[in-house]
Amino acid sequence: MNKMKNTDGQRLFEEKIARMLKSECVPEIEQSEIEATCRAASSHYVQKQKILDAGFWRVVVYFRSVGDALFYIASTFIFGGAVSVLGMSTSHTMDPTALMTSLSPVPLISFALHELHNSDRSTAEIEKTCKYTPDRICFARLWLCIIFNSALVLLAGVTLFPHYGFVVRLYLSSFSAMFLVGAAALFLMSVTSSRLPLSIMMLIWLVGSGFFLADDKHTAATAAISTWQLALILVFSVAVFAAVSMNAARRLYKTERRAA
Amino acid sequence: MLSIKNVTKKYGKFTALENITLNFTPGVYGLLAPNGAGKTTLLKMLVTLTFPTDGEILWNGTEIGKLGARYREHLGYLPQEMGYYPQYTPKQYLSYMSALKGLDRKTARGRIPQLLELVGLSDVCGKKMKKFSGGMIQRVGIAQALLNDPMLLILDEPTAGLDPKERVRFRNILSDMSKDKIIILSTHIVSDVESIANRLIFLKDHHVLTEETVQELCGRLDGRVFEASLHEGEIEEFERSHTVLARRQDGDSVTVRFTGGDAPTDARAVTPTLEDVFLLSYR
Repeated sequence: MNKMKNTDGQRLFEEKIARMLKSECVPEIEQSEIEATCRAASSHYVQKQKILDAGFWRVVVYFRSVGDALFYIASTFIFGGAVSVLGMSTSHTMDPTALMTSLSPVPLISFALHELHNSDRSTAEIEKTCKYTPDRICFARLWLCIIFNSALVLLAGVTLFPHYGFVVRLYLSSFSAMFLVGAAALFLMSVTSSRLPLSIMMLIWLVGSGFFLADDKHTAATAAISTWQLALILVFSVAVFAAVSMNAARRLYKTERRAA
Repeated sequence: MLSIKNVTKKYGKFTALENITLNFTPGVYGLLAPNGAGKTTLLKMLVTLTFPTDGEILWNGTEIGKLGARYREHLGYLPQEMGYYPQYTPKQYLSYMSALKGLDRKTARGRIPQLLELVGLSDVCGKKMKKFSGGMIQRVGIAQALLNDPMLLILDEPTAGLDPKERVRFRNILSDMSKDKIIILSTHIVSDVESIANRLIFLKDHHVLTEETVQELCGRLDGRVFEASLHEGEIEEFERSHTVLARRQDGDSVTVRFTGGDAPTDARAVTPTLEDVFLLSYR
């Protein structure tokens, strides 16, 4: 009964509006004018950017130059190739866990170096005044790179060491290194636009891990770490990475933070 | 629409701008000042590249930093030094910039050829920008600033590197679209703004010296600017008692444009120009 009353009420209301529209001279508004009014009105309210903004992810993923694509392919080959060669030729003498741990952060550091190489002050100045800022795009790309890097480590582990009995240890150790080194790279990226500190870090990591791998005592010591201890290290490294990411985000979005 | 309220900007102990208050409604505003007067700092604050140490900048009543992307959506900006990717063609660059500005693909596809046509780069739209001259890069910069049909257009020294023909073309573009937009044009080239700016803002010693129309500014000097013919030897003496705004060699004599002091008997009053006002303001 109530529903019927409502329907009648709505019908009468619509008829009343129709009569009013007929009696008044209402100008016909063009679509472009409506859109322009909406655009003008939109600047009166504050709205945060959504994480699932298709336009934003289109910029993040789609707008990469040919050079960028080549860079990612090269990174994959270098990483994959190094793991393959070293893993197959020295699998009897070298601990796969140590090997994967030392190589797992390489694509991530390369990514950070590449992003810094591409950054240019005057270009960034224009980009920062756009809807999607380059800092935010770079940050999103870093997270994509983490996913890419993780997939690479998983794939390398599964394909190269299928019969390795300590695959869980291998992943725990590799991901720990990736997150810790990733955190360091992210921190450096957020505090300096120079590539030098990041390059030095990459060098230290590679040379350091090379020395580490060459010494049996060190690999034996690593092997002595229990699985649950490795799991704790991974939890710790993920926490460090998350903390550094949030801090770096605040630094990268300095302008928005100042105003918020 | 856009208000700057008591804005001060300091870099450490150095004060770049002090207590600036300005209001902008649709129209062209010329920001005129000599180099180092704080023009670029002011513009960088308007485009959220830097923020005031004190005071606030409001867009329709809301602080621009709070609006964030919602404000930048309405913004078109051409910096003094135009950054670009040399490997990109203008078309690729504008596609990229339109994505950054949040334009959907369909809108961008329609808008890019129009803008390339407008800035006279249609015929080179497929060439890499690394081969472009400074003027051509600047024109790509102008096109990118216009991509999102901005309500607020901020241009820092936009005519740098443009030849006279391009400058005229650029002035016409601005003039055509000034009806419903706020256009702020920073320059130290007086002729760039003389014909198109509705209002002029002069900055001096980190403060707003004046904000008036061209007519109002020039009107202040009505009946006070003269031209006289002098001999070469008389110039030095003349300059001691008058403010010489310009001189022109005319055969054996020199035609001097001046103000102040007693006008010689043969001097004739001339219509003051914006350049006269500028020179007097910053002498």
